Amino acid sequence: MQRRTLIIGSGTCARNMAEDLLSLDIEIIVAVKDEGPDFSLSNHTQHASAEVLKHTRLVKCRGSVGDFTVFMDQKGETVERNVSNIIIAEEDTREPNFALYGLAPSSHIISSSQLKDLLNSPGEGALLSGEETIVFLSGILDESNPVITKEIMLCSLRLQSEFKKQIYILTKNLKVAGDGLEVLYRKTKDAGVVYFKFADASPSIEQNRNGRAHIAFNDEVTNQQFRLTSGITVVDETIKPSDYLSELSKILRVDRDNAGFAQTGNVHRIRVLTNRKGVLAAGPGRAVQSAEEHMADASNAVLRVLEFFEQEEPEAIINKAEINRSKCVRCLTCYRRCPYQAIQLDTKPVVVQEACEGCGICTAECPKGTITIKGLSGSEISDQIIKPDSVNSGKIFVPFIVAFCCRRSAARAWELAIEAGHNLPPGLRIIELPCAGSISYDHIFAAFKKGADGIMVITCHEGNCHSEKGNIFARQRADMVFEFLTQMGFEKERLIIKSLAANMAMEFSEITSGFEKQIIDLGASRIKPGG
Amino acid sequence: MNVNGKSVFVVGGGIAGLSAALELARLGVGVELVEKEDVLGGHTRQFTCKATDKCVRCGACIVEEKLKGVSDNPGIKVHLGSHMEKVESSGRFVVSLADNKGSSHSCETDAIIITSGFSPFNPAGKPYGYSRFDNVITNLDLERLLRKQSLVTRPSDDKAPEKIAFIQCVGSRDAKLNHLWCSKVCCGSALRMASLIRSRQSETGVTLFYMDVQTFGRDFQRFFNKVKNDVRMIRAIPGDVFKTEDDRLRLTYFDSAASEPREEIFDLIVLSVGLTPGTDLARLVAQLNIELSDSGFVSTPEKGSGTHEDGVFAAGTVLGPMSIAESVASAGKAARDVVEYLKI
Repeated sequence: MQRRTLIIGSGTCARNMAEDLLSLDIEIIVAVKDEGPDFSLSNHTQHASAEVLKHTRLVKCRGSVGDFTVFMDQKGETVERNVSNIIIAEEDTREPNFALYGLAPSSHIISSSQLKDLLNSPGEGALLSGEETIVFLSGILDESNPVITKEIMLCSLRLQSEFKKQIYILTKNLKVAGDGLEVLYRKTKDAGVVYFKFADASPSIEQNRNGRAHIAFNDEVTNQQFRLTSGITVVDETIKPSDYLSELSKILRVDRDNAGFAQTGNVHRIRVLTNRKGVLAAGPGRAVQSAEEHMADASNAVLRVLEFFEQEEPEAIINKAEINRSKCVRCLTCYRRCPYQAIQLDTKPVVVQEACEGCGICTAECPKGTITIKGLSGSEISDQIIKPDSVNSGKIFVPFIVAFCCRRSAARAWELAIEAGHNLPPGLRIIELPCAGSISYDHIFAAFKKGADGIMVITCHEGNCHSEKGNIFARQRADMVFEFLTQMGFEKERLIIKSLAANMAMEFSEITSGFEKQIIDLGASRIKPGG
Repeated sequence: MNVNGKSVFVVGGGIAGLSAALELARLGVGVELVEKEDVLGGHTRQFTCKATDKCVRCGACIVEEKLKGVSDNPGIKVHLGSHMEKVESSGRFVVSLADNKGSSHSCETDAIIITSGFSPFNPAGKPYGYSRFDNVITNLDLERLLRKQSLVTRPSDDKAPEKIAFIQCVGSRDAKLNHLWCSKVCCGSALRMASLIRSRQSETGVTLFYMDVQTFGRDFQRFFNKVKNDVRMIRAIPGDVFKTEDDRLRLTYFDSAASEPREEIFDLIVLSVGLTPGTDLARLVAQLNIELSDSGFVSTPEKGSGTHEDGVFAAGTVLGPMSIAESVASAGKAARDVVEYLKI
């Protein structure tokens, strides 16, 4: 297999990964959408090759982890390359919040990036002369973040101490949750920077004819009215993904967060993973974060690539999906439902073994039942549904409860509950599923047929499913079964669906015991085992 | 890669140590993981899941994944109830380990990663009555409580509190203590727990006393908008806490909007204590040539993971306050740097 990784981006995070991968003898291609900075890759050895493609945008991607074919546009020409992994480290963009504060940009109203540029170009600072008062507006309407706060504090420190201006910073919550920011905050205060913080009220901001801002507010600490006519008003910026970055997620079929960055908030993706094997998100492509965090991302992405090339055996042997091609009617449900994009379209859908994580969502979703995973068929699950001996002993009714548990969450909580000695129903039988999304109607009805008095489906919480939407699919299927049961005149209370995390041992005990009580009240199931 | 015979010592079995151990073991590097307690998992092991109907991304479940990963990985040798008694450096390191039973043995290693974590600030010196009043607890106490039971009760009488106050920044952002840092994680922890309590115990009122609410997680704005409807927010650092005759707590604070001091009665007070440098750092400084920053956390030149001593790396909250996600990333960075150091 070739050892080649595509890095999309041009910032320090992208460069750092490029150099680091080269030092590990892994070939790299860096695709930079514009002129970009001049990469002088220091670790370039004869063993690995490096290619920097400027003015190049990704337009199409085929294949899967270990064997991606990427199609890029370079000034109208199509460039085709074969790579094993892809890292999205595309730069974010900034949008000045002029409109948010009702201000129009002018020589008196500038963005924080404009100010940074002024301060960084020699002599340009003179443009600030003649103005005594500089007001920063930051995080007044929308909450800010430590990245922006740090920039504003650094600028204000220079303006106050070097340029002898009077600086006012107006904000709601000062974002100091970053390394060294509390110390920096104190330094700015010692230098004379004045902070006004608002809780519920916001200042009233008006722009006069000559372009200056008049700001009036009630200071919540001294309870006094203030009026500031600002020589220069600096508005903060929102850091957001560029259109190209959003487009990249679409091309690579990677789930995005609400802002449009190439990773969701799913905690199982910590740190640089996406829902798609072989596609990583790092640095500015991943989230709003500091330069230090970009570097941490770079190291973590390099580790993931290294692990991919160096790992001798897979972490765990998992059963993967297989499609019976002769029965497939090409409805493409599997293609649309697979959270890992492990289904490829040939003449008919094919499971890419390397990308399949064996979650079983496709097996349950396929309307024709043509997809199988070892261990998940109706009969295999049915064989596991065995009544605990305690159910049959004695005269008191001990409900037989079958709990279908996601192996990542509820099954772990069950183990912890046993370890901790928590109370569990004596008639409880756990069936582990690779993901709650693999639960099928067959499984639920098999449990009823085996004489279960109550059936539980326990999923991860919404937003925490390793397979992204497995818990939602499970809920949809449970809803359908509720509907069947109601129509059949059967107690739908015999089935429940709950969410649990892996560390919720106590809750596992509580919900199973609570359900047992509910079933005792209902009495034994009318369905006779084997009948 | 040639990992033959290479081994790395990881000191501390919290989230950073577990993560670093796993990263290295996956690449075939032999790992010795030493943990002073009798169980792995560190502080995070006691954390509760804070999901209401949806996951709120606190990351508490990540530790379970890592614990399982470590226990399933034959390449990681775990030494519980043990600490480094002596370290000698001569190209490789010779480490003497001592366990709680008094026995010791030594082994050789190529590099060391320090992931010994933080110590929670002890708020007994603050005028909030911690350790004097049963119903004044820390956020870590509340995490443990919520891990054990789904409803919050008061330690003094096991009754559900009508009113709970969270006090933020206890031991953080405090010039008098020379604690010039934000502990980063307490706003997320407090607001997520407050939101969880409100969703399960709607009759319980929650008030949060704060300086500045810190942004955490993606979609913070959305979470914060929701939580502001559920939790009363007061920007003030409370003064004192007294116990009333009917076993409630009287809290004083300065109401700046009204420009006057106020008193309010609560049933349970939760102190969000800061993350401070680990108490066992002194021993490590004596053993290894590592340096501490002004704040007392381990300092690394050029903000990398390498300390001032060659072959010794650091990750996680031993470097300063970090969330679970940041600790995992920090461990990844250290693992990458160690691989570079070992030239494998």
